Amino acid sequence: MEWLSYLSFTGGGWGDELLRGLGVTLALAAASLPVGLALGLAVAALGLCRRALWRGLAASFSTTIRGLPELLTLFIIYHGVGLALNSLLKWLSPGATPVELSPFLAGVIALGLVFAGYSSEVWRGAWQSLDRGQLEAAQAIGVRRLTIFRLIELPQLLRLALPGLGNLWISLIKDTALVSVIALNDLMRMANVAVGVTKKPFLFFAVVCLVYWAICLLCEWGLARLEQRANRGFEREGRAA
Amino acid sequence: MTTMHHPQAALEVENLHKSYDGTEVLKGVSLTAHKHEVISIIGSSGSGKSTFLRCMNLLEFPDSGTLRVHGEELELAADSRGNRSKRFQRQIERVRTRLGMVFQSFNLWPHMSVLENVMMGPCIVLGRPREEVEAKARSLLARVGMLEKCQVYPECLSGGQKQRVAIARALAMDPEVMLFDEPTSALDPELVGEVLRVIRELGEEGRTMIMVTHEMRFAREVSSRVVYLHQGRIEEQGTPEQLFGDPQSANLRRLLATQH
Repeated sequence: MEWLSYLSFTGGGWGDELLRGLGVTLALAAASLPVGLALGLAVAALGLCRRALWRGLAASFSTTIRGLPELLTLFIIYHGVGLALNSLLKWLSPGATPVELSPFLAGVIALGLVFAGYSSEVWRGAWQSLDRGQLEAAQAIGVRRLTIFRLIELPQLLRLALPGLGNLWISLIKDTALVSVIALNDLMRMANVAVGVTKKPFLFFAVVCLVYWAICLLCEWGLARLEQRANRGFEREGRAA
Repeated sequence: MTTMHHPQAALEVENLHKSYDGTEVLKGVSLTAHKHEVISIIGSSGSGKSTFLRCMNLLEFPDSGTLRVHGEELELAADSRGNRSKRFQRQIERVRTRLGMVFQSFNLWPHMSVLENVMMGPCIVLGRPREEVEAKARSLLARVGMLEKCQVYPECLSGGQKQRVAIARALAMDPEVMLFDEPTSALDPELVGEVLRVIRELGEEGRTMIMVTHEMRFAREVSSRVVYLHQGRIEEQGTPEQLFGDPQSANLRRLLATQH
């Protein structure tokens, strides 16, 4: 029962550290999601523009992001953007103290970009499978363009894109572990630190493993519920609430 | 407003031109629909009849021509497609609220119940109070025989039922003119009757209607005027008795011969 003391929340136990790490992991994933969703939708919209320039921009964005290892994207944002910021600062006022991009912010930007790169393709596919006739039916009674998007397109986009987006969300949760390399104290890094101190790799990695699994199982359950809700009206016997 | 032209005209289209990639589909078509008229547009496929109808509520944008809906006039030109002023866009939306459109493929919104489909326009576009809209939607659904299905989603309906809901949805906007774009072409033969019955009743109530159709017998029975479109021009028009009984155009005679 010695291992229990390693995980205790008081004294020399690592339970409280791991819990805080879990908090950071969840906060990071939750903060990256809206960034990635919105940016991905915007990129998808650009990709469906009539203008070739916009389409090219959208295509090169998702190609670039998807072509880079996530770890490299994170390094580029954390070090590269930090460097660029400081060069700019130095150029503007040579005496200023250098700033540091917070690892959390860098993580949100990098993970958001990655999610956007992949989700833009999911959004685009969903958008293209929308039935044009439904939009015409809304136009024909004088509904404004933005209202059509909000009331007709978006609900169906969500339904069509949900399975693909759910997949990306699960993958995003696990990608948060990458930020441990830029010294952000997430679940993964806390486990690493604990292992370094206690020399009990099996115990801590097994615990962290179970925690990631638990989160993903919970998300899958939640996603299944969401899909059920979004598919109202698409199964036979569908009844309105 | 220019109500001078035809005091009784609900919808006037003048000299409409429309090309796709250099092919002229409409070569200057004009049509005036007076109040209480039921006009059927017939013609072989490719004659431009659906395009003509879709130009009337600007789902297709004509290259040139004039559109007058109950006195409100829109000057149409190809360049207004790209750079529409906000005012012009609002005018288009306003004109559309006065024209009810029924599509060949129904185009109900699948994520909304039958009742929500019918209520959407009056609630969102006209901003009417919900209770009032719902009461009216229910009475419209009752009229097309779909009230008992009002909580159901479109996916669960047959084609004929969907089309009757689509008609109720268009009626909910209190349109001055109803436009029908081949309303029975996507239906199984045994479902055509229920939809035609609803359309016939609307005509008998005195609704102004313009309909593109392949149902010659139906067109003959319900129309006050029939327009024959051939290769982007109106080749012949008149009462159903004139057009079906004594067609002058050789092309029309050929078309009618294939229908029997």
